[in-house]
Amino acid sequence: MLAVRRLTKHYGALVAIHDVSFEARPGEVLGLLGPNGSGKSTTVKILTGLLRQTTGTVQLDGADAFADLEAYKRIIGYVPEEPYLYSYLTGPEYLRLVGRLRELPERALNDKIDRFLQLLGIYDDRHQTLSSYSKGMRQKILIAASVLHNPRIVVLDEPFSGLDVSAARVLKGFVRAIAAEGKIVIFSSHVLEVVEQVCSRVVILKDGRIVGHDSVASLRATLRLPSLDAVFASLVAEEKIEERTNGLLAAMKA
Amino acid sequence: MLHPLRHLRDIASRVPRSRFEVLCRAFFGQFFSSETVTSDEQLQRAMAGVLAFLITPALLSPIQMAASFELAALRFPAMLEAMTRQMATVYITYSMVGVGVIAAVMWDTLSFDRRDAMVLGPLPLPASTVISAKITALAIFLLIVAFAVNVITAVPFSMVAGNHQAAVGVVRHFVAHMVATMSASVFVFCLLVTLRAIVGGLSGRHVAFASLLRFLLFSALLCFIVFLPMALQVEPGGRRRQASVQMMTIPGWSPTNWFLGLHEWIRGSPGAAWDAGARRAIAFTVTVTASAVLTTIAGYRRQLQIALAPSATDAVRRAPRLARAIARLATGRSRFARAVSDFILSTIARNSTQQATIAVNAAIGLTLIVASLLRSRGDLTQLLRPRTAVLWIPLVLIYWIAIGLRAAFFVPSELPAAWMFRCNAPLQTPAYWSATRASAIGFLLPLALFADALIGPLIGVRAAAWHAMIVVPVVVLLAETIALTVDFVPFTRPYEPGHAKLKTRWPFYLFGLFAFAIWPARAAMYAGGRPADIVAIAEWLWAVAVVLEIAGRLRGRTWRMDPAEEYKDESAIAVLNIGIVLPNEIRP
Repeated sequence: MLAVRRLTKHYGALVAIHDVSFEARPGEVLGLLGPNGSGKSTTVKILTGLLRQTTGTVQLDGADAFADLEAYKRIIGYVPEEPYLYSYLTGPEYLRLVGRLRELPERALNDKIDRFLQLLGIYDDRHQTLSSYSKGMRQKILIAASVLHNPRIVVLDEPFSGLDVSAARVLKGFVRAIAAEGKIVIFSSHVLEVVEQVCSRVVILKDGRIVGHDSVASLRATLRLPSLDAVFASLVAEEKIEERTNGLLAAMKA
Repeated sequence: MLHPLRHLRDIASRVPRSRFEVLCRAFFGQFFSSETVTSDEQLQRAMAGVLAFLITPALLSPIQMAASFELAALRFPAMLEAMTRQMATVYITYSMVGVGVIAAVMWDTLSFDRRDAMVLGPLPLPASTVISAKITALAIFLLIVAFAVNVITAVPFSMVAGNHQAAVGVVRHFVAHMVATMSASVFVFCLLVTLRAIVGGLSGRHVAFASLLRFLLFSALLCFIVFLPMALQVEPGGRRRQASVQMMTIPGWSPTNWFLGLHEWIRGSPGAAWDAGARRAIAFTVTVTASAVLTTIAGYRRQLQIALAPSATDAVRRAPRLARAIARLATGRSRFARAVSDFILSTIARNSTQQATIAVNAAIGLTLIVASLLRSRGDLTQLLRPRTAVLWIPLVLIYWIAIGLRAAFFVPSELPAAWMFRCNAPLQTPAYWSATRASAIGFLLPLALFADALIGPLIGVRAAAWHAMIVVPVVVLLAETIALTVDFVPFTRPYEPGHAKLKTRWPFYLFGLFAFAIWPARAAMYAGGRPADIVAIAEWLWAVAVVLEIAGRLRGRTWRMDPAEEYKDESAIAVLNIGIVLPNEIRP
C-alpha cells in the first residue's frame, strides 16, 4: 500500500499542497481530481520521486518510500501530463532507451516494443521521429514507456489526453486491468467522466488541500448528488458558472 | 522633417496593417530567435559575439592594407592598379565568406520547414502571401547583413584606392566596391537559400548537410583571417634588399574573379576579361536569385505535402552504426551504459545545434592544418614525405573535433524531456561516465581513422597505417579526458553561457594542442617509420590512457543525474523581504 501522510510542498512563499494525506491500495485505481492549480501535478511529481516534499512522508508498505529512491523508481511507472519526449528519436528508439535504462533483457524488450506498437496502432509509424507524431501517438508512446517494466505502481497524469475514442476505450480497460492485477494505480485527470469510469476511489484537491476523499459511490451518496461531476462542482465550489459562460459568449460576440 | 532613424523605429513599432506584414515580421523574427538559449539576453550576447568576430577583420584589414598600399604607391606607382584589384579581391572574398557564414548559422530559417507548413497551412492565407512574406523577410535580412558587412570595408577602400585621384575617383571606387561586394553577397546568400530549400525538401539529411556547410564556411572565414596579412605584402627594401610587392593569387575558376570583373567594369578599367567577368557575375547572380525564389516557392508546397501526408521515404536515418558499434565495444557489458551512449550518439547525429558546435571547432583545426601546409609555399614535394605538418593532420583535426564534442555535451537537447532520465534511470551510476567515454570514442575514432587515411596519398599507405597506431591511442586519451571533465549525462542540463571560459582557459586549450597533436606528431617523426619505435610510442600512450581510465572509473562513481532540477525553479522565485510582519493566519 502506498500511503501519503501530511504531505506539504512549498515553492518559496507559495504553498502548492498542504497537509495532504491519502492511501492508494493494490488492486484499485485512485483518482486525483482538482481544478488547475489545486496541487495535483505537484502531488504526482512527489509520488514519482521527481520532486521532494517540504514536510510529510510517502510510505510504501509501511516504510519510507524515498529511503531508497532508486529502488522505489524501479517499481514505478509514470505518464507525465506534458508529452515531453526526445522528439528526434523514433517511437521504438525512445522505448528502447527507456527499457535499457531500466535494464530490461534485450530480446524481451524488443518483443515488448513490437507488441506495444502493434497493439497501440503505431507500428507502421515506427520509422518516423516523435516530432512527426500526433499528440495521441506521443501519448501512446508515453503510456507504453510507463509500463514496459511491469511496474508495481503506475502514476498516470492525464494519460488519455489527445487519444482517439477507441484508443481511449482500450486504455481505460487496460488501466482497470492492471489494477486488477494487484498493482497500485494513481490516475490524475480533469475529465470527470473518465475518472468516474476508471477509478475506484477519488481524492479531490482544492487550493492544495483535500476537500473530498472516498469512493465515487460514497461521495455521491453522502452528498446526495447524481454524478461525480455534481460532486466535484459542489466540493470545489465552482461559482457563477452561468454568469461566466454568458460573459464568454458576450466577449466572443463583441 | 522626420529623422530617418526615428522613422524606421516608428515602422518597426507600429501595429502591422496586413497579413503579409504580420507574416513578414514573424519570418524576420525567426532569424533572431533560438530554441537553445533560454533568454533573449543570451541570444543577443551570442549574436553580438558572432558579429564582432565577423566585423573585426573588416575593421582592421583596411588599416593594415592602407599602410602597404601607400608605401607601394610611393615605391611602385605602376603597381597601383594591380594592388587596387588585390584589395578589391580581398574584400569581395570577405563579403562572400562573411555573408556565407551568417547564412549557414541561420540555415534552418532560410527556407520553410514542416512546422511553418503545420502552423500556416490551416490558416486562411493564400500561399502567395506566405511565400512572398518569406521572400521579403529573406531579402530584408540579406540587405541589412550585406550592407553592414560591406559598407565597413567600402568606405576605407574608396578613400585609400581613390587617394591619388579626384573626388569622382573616390565615389567611383565606393560605388564599384558596393555593387561588386553586394552582388557577391547576394550570390552566396541565394545559393545557400536554394541549397537549403532543395536539401530540406528532398533529403532527410539536411542536418548533416548544414553541419558540413558550416564547417566549410567557418574554415573559409578562419583561413581568410589567417591569410589576410599575406594578401598584400610590401617589402620597403634597403641597401641590401630590393623593394618588392607580394600578392597572393586567386585561382582563375574562383567566382571571386567574376565579381572582380564587375568591380573593374564599374571602375572603367579597360579589358575584355573584366567585361566577361562582369557579364558572368550578373548572369550568375540573377540566375541564383531566381532559383532561390523558385525553390522557396517549391519548398513551401513540398513542406505542406510532407506535413499533411508524411511519406515512408521520410523515415529517419539510423544513427551512425559504426560509431554505435565502437561505443558498444567500449561500454563492455553494461546495457545501461550502452543505452546512454546510443542516446548521446543519436542526439549528435540528429541535432544541428550540437553538430554546429563541433563543426565550428573542427574549422579551427582545418585552418591550422591549411596554415601549416601553406608554409611550404606551394612546394608539394615537401608534403610528400612524413613531416610534422603532415603527420599532425589527423591529430589536430581530431583534437579540435573533441573540443567541439565536449562543448556540444553542454548544449541541451529537448531539456524538458530530461525528466525521462530522472524517472527511469538510477540517480548515481558509473555507467554515465562509461557511456560518455564510449560515445566519445565511438564518435571520434572513425573520423580520426578517416583523417589518417587522407594522409595516405601523401606519405604512403603503409606509413599512414603505422601512424594509425599512434592516432588510435590519442583518440582514446581524448575520450578519457573528455569523460574526466564532464560529470553529468550530456545534453540534459541547461546551458550555462560562457562555460568554455576561453578568456582564462585558452592556455589549457593550447596545452591540449601540444599534448594531443604536436607532441605525438613529433614523436611519430622521431620514430621515423620504424615499427618498433612506433609501437613503443603507442605503448606509452596506452599506458597514459590506462591511468586516465582508472581515474575516470574512480570519478565515475560520483557521477549523478541531478535530481534537484525542480528545486532550481524554487530558487528562481525571489522573495523580497520588505520587513512586513504578516499575521499568523496568512503566513505560508
